[in-house]
Amino acid sequence: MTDLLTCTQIELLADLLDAVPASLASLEHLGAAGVYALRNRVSDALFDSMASTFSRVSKLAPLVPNALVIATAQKSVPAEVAGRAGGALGLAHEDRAVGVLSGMKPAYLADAASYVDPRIIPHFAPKLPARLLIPTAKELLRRKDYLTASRFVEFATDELIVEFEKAIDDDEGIARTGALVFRTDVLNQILRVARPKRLVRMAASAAAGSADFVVAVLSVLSRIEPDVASPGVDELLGNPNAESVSRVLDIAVRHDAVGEVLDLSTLLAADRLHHLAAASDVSVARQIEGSADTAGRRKAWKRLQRAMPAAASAKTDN
Amino acid sequence: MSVDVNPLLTELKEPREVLAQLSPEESSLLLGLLRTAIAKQHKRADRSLDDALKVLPRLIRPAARKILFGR
Repeated sequence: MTDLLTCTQIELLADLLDAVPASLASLEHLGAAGVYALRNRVSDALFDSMASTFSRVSKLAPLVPNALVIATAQKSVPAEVAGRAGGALGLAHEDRAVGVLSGMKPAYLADAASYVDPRIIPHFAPKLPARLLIPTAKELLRRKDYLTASRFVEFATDELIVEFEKAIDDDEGIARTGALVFRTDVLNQILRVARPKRLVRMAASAAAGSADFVVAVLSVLSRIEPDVASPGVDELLGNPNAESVSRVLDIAVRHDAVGEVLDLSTLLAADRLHHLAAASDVSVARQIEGSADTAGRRKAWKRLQRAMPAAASAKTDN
Repeated sequence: MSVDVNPLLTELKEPREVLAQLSPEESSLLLGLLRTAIAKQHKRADRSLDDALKVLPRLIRPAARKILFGR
């Protein structure tokens, strides 16, 4: 499951180069951090090559008022080209960025979003009001374009996090976007700033939600700091509702995420651990034991096993 | 002259520690994709500028054309 991050980075690199992700699959050996660094460098090279074109366009600014920029772009400039040029033009005419963006349709901005130069996102993130970005963010989540959304999450400011948390109701969209975010420090920061209740709500929705949703929440919880993750882990794995926990376990088994379950079990207090143990039947217990591939996980397995009803733990001992 | 086994490293220089791990095949595949992508993006941008010029008000079109294409 750690490969999710590498695959995400390969997919983003393929998008950038207009290639099929499968053709770049061998790059997996670079790891997520390696592909992330490579992608950023390739992106810089692509945007730098366009600099002179963008600066010519930028000189048109005095001729073309905002309303005309908006109308002309949406009528005859593909969102792909607008997205690429948007960063350079925005930097050159910062005073007009809000005016132009607020006149454009969220659908057009969502189309353009995946082509934006990542270098300008941290520059504009603190300058653009949340109300301007939220409709486009909602549109991306509605389209389930979590990959594009994840590129922007990386640069969210505390103010934007608070506003987005209030405005965006889609727990699954947030979790599946979060699972694709490369920088774990950003995930920690977001979950620290957002209301803690939200993580618990998200875990509860996941327990009743799609397999992709469950896997995303397991992945996020296992990456973030234990004190941030803990209330979500209690809700998802340490829940007294055995049926709900056993559904989560079945999904984890089918999606190769039992190792994460084992890691997260160490955050459960004894009574909560008991709920997880009670929901693990013999076959699930065997899968969990099989995933104990490190010293830490073997220790976690022993602890979980001791909390299991005699029947389940006895069988796996044979 | 010997064949460059890591043309992407030669072209981009950085991040050296990552680029150095590429196989010769990966390196030349990526450089090829990068060059194609650059060419394609230039073409698309130029075409969009042409199209955008056509929808600008007549009054500012000559000035805009001069700025964009110097003619």
